[in-house]
Amino acid sequence: MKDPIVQEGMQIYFYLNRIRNIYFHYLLILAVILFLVWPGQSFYYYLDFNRHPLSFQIISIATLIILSFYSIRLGAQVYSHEDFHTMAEWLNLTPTTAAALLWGKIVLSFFHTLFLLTLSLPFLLAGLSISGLSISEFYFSLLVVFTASLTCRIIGLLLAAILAERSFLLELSLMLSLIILYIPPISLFPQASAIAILLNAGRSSFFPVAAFFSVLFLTAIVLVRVRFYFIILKARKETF
Amino acid sequence: MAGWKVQGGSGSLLLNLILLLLLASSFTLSASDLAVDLMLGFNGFIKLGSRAPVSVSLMNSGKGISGELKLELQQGSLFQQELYTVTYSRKIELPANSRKRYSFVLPFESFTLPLRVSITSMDRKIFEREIDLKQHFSRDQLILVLSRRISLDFLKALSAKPARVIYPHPEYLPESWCGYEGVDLLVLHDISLAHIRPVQVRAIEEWLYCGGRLVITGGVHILSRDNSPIEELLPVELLGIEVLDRPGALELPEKLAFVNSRLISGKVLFGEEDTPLIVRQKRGKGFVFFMAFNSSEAPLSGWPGKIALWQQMISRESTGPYPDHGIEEKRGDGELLLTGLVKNSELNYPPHRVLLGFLLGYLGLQLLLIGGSLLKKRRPALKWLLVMALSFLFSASGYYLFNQLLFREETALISLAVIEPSWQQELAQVKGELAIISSHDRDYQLRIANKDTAVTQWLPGHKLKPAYSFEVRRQSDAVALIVRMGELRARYFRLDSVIDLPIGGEIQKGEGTVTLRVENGSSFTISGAVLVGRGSIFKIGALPPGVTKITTGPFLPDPAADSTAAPALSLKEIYGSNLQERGGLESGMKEALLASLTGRELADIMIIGWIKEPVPAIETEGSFLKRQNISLVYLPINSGEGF
Repeated sequence: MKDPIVQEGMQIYFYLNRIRNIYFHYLLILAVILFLVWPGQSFYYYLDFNRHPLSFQIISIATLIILSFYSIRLGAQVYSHEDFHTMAEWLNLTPTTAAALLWGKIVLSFFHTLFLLTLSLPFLLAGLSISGLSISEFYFSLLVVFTASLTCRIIGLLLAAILAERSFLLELSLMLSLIILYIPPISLFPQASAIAILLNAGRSSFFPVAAFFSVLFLTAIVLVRVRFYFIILKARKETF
Repeated sequence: MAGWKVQGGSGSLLLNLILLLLLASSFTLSASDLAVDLMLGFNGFIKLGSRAPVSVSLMNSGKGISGELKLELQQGSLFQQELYTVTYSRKIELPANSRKRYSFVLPFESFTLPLRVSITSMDRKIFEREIDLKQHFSRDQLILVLSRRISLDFLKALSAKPARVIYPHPEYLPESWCGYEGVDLLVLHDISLAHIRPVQVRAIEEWLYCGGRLVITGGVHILSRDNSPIEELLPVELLGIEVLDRPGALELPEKLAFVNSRLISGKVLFGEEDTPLIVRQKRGKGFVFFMAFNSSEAPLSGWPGKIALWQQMISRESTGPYPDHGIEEKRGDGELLLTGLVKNSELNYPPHRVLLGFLLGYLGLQLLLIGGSLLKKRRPALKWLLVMALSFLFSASGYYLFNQLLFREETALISLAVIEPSWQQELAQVKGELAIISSHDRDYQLRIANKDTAVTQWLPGHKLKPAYSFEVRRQSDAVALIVRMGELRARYFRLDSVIDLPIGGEIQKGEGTVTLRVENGSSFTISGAVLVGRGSIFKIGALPPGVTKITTGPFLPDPAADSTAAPALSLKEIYGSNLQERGGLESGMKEALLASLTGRELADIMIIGWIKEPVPAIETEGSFLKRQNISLVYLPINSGEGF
């Protein structure tokens, strides 16, 4: 990877102990959750109630929440603030343009989110194998988790750009963003709630809702990206 | 309905027909160009909790109609407002100015909800009516008499339980064996059945096979040339009318006109020298009685033995030396074998210890790879790829591992059956079960090759919901079962039918040995067949269609003569070790089927084997990732009949 921003990110995301601990915690929490939600009852118990174990739904929701939590903080560089070059440094001390900086950050976020999701794949597929869901429902669930996590990542990036030097406010806004993103839609607008959608995996309404949700999030990503671009431009202008 | 019941003992058949016509006219449900006549049960009489025929006569005086006739029964709890609908449908084609009759057999489990009849043509309902069932139900025993005269009403007094004697018109007799489910006795009382259709005769034959009781009485009319359709039902060959002078067997001091006959098979209960007067023949689980004279006419109308004779034929205890070795049928709310099968420990989810091993393996390797010094600071992209490759490897192996350990499919169709043929006879009763397991919310259409298959649903835990509705669509040579899974994951059905399964042969006793010759005349391969009896076992092996096998084994001791005879082998002993070694779904199904036999009174000599094809054949629309079928063939051999 020739992009210096991506290269910097790869070095930090793999060799910084604080980040590696995140991977372990992430894997450990998912492993414990999968172990706890693994069906203890017999196959007949579930068939008798006309349902399958909800292991996949629970593990996918757990993946979504944990991944979103880490993504929004990784996006805001909470774990590695001093290790990354700041945006001003990139723009002022290197020939990197605002567009290239934004592109590098987006690419890094995309692949790192994908990487984190890949780490959880064995848990998700183990859950899937006993949940009676089709592979297409699995793909749609992955899409929902990925797009939602990527959105969190970019929201984190945006909040970090806005609230660069105000760490308490940044922490608060990160948490509030997560809560606003996931909790109210469960009851107010379940069609766009990632948690509600993942819980409904296997039901007839799942596919179109998931598709709708994914498009919604992709649109949000684009909008945030545009907003972020303007912030960078503003930062550059102020620096000079 | 009181008007349907014909009282009195000296009416004429004409009166009976007039009453029937009046009855039918009372049900004429006229539409503009379409008139609909409905005949419920037998002369409007339905026995509670059993299947009964329903005939729908359509008279079209307008343009041609092409559409669908639907009969809908609502079942479930009215009190809890949790009802589901069972729809019985048929395609109809009514040319202009035509009349057609369509027959159904419906399971009437309740009378609180009406029967809905509708006709749809070109997506438009052209006829709809609800029929109140309350007035048609009774709990009495049902004796059907096909007779020229109303002369057997005295039979209701002979039955141990309250009974009704009904005189249906032969035209309205069911075309399917299950239409007779509520009938306790059928009497063909010296009648010519020239117009009875072959399909109706076949229905009576199949009903007999499932345990029905038929009495055929002799007289002038039974000898009619047009009576050939019922020859199949007779245990004798009819020769003609003769007169017996004071027959000693009946202790009758007068001359008796009777139908002379020659025994084909069965046992002569009363006879005069070589002349059979009363014959009993076993058909599957049922019996046919032939009486060579008309007991309701002189000189037998006042004969004192008449009551005892009829009582013996009505009574279930009259089987004499023919114990019914048929496997007791589980009815009502009894669990299915299939539910027992899915309770099988083989079908549990992978245990936590397997999962723990998998998780520790994955976490350990990732810890080494991410946290270890491998490829430190060099070639970070390779490290990314290795971590991801490990993740993919565990994903694929985990999915494969847990799928292998578990019976789990997105869509699965499992059918099992107990098939009970009779030695040397051609039919077999099939008690089948079917499970559809699916996560998909869509319609499944199963085409069951036998059109007279009776389909009933088994509801787990009495969870009655509208989602349990289903449709049974009668086709020309098959029955289509249409179910929507909705949010249900598993649906269970009972499939009862009668099929052709000719299997026979002979057993010859030799010097300390027995030679068994078995011929499989069916179209199915019977595998793993064994002869079990009196502590001995002969391995017969596979019996492909049309193949005759001869096996020689040790002599089967007669338990009556030899008190030291070994106790009967348990079925688990025969197949148990073999099944345990194999494991898996098929073995589980075989175990469930064998377990269903244990604890029941079985024949002392029997043949057991397996058929792996679905019986009757089931075609599916849409794919099922897994299809598994197994049927247990249980063939009892009564020592008095087989050898």
